[in-house]
Amino acid sequence: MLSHKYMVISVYIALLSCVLTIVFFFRNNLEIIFTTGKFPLITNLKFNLNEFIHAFNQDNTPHQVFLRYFIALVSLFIIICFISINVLFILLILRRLIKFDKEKKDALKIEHIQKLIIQYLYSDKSAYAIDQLRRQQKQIVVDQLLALYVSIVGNKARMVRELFFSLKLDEYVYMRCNNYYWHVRVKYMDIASIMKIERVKNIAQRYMHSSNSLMRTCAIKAYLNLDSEHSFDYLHRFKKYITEWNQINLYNLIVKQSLSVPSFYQFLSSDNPTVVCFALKMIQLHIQTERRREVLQLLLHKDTAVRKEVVITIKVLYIKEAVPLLMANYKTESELVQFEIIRTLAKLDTEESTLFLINLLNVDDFKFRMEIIKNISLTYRKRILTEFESNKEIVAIVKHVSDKRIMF
Amino acid sequence: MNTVTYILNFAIMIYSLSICLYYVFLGLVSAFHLIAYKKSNSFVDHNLLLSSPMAPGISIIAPAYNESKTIVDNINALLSLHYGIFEVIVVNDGSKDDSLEKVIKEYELEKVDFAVNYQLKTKEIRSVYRSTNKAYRFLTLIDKENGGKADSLNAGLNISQYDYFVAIDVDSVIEPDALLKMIKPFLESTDKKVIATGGAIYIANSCKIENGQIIDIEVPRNMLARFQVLEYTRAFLMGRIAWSRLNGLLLVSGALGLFDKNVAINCGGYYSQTVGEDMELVVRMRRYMYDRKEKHSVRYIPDPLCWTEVPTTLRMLGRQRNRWTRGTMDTLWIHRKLFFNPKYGRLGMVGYPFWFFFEWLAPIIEFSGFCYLIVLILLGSINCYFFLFLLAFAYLFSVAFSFYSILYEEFTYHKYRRVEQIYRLFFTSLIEPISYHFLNVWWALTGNISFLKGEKTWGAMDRKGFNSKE
Repeated sequence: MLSHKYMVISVYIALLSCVLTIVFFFRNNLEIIFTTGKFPLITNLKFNLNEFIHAFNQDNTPHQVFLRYFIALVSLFIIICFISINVLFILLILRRLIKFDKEKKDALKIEHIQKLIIQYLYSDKSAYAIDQLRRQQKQIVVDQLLALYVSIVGNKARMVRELFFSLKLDEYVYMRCNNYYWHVRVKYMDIASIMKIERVKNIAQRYMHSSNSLMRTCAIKAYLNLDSEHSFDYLHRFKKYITEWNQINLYNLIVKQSLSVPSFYQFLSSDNPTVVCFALKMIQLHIQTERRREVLQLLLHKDTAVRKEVVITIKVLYIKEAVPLLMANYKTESELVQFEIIRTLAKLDTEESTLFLINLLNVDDFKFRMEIIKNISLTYRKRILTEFESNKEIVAIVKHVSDKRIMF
Repeated sequence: MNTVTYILNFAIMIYSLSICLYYVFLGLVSAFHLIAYKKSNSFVDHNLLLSSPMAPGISIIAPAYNESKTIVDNINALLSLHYGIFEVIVVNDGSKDDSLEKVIKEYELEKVDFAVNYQLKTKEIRSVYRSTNKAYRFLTLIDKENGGKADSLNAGLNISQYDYFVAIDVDSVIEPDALLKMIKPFLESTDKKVIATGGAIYIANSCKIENGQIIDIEVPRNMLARFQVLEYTRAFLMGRIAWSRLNGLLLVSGALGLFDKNVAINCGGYYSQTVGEDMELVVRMRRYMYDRKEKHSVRYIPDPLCWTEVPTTLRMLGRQRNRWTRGTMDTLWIHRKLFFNPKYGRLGMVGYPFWFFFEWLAPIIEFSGFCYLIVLILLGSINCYFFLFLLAFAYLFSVAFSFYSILYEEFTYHKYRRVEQIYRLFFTSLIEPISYHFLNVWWALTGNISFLKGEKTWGAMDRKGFNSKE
């Protein structure tokens, strides 16, 4: 975070140097500018280049006046560049020195804190260790305890959590979760979520609909972790876009934190297509079969991405009743969904679906032929070879998909 | 005569001031974008994608021509990239050395009956190889007739199986987590579809490389390479980042870029009649999206994702720059319809005109300025003080801009960790405007002449190989 501060400071310094230069440049003329609204002639400026520009001050033709302003502007740029070069050089060198010094000090502090934590965990001087830890920089103690907590399990992990609360670091984290800066909130909300600081739940709830995608994801993750009862209820009223990245994060959280998984069928009626997509993906990944016929109603959903996920769900849940619907919808679907229908029909492997797919091989399109032959059951490949023996492309594709070096 | 001189002076002055303002503007936009990016990405765990069943697959296409010295190491590095579902397609573009034999032997490859979907026209594919060893099941080798980089990439696209593809130079060193970082913008896209991403490219000359990984980063010992460090830092950390923020990017570097395969194929794939195929593809993909009225963006990731070896001799560098200029001119000419065309949004109204005026036209105007200066000196019509005054400004502006790019690097990725490395870069910034810059102008000019002559060749590029003593 330090580097960000420096970067912001450097930009401010650069801007400040520009402002100072301008003020210096016009210091005697500001009054005239503000009172008359006119810029004074360059001859009025107290500046070392006066002698040089004297040559241009012989008359007041528009050309000469223009030149004078031009020189003033370029002089200003020269000064800004000169100051920038010097400031940047000093800033970079100073930063290196400060950073080096800070890294050394931080390393010593971390070492000391780690020793105290080990004392607390493994020796009989735990009261002394707690007392000493209270005097340390809270941010570093939090970081160290968290790092240890996520890497151990069992009794020691429980002790670390107890230590965290006995040092009242939960209050510190709670306070930081309310910080003005979003990146601070994100960091500490994550910590609260891992350390299960339940009262942060309310703050997380507040930011679950934030326009900042990262803040939103983090708040959702924290909320899911801290409120297992109503964990996914927010999806009912969720209006924002759940990107694929958000979905990956959420799924990872479910798996890692072993969250209780609700029936995702309840979200299939959402107005938000991204919520429906996410619910369908979760139904697939958790193989939730209890209300599987409800999925079929979404085959005519207006959103292509939803329809694609529905077809995949039919494949995963092995809903054979869907075959006639899929075949009927095939022609009107987008190419993206058509590919999924082919894969699903091949997987469902009914007599009529296979016949439908073999018929589709007559359409002269390599991509579709490849997809059909790749997915169709092995028993039908021979039949395809005999039926289409004169079609070089189909024969080549069958050879391709039958080669184990290619199709591993 | 006076009026003509006055108009000429005035035009050059306006142009120079606008180019300065343009760079300042880009620098400011980049600064704010970099701060936001660094803040948000410090909380992102890209490794989530490694184990996620929802992560998309990626095809890596690496064209190779006479890369015998390094090809095995480079393929090993590609196969060990951190990503879950991917394939590596090496395209041997009719190499005259033993690249093909080396790869076949090293990875236990055999000819297979691969059904190729010729959706993009390419030179004849002689054969496709796959390994008998399951450890290399992600590797496919194509042997084809020589047709250039664009043709090889198209051949790779024809046999690729995933929805996204990465185009790389096989002689570049890719950071292990490059794919994880590059795919993220695609996964984050909402109603605005991301069609391509690129990453910052760093210079690997003088760096220590083992098994296709950067072990120790060093500022190049060779001065020409060192000048290019500054040039790349400015271009990636100040230029492209800003254009990405403004959604006006026209170029994703050929050394490393991740693309949406469907969009690339639907718009016709790489154009093999140009030497600037990377820029041309991005412009065509964007044009295709605009024609279909689909919201889209091209993103640049400031993280250093790729290390490349740059030319260290005047002859090689001159050839490269000549080729780059011809590539730019080709693309600008092919897509001239975009010029200030409101139908193409920011691409037509901002991106293309800026590229035209400040990237292509700048060296020509600068060279004309030099000639004009000589004429004025000969005629005795030059005000010496005034000339020195403007020269001081141009020099200081250029140095300040380079210093800012070093600052950006320092505050973001901090790859050059030793203080003496920073001193070297500072020193290089001080001498670059009065040495290397003039060479660049000259090469750009000769590139223009070569384009007008109709030259289409790449020109041989002798690589010294990583870890070589320059």
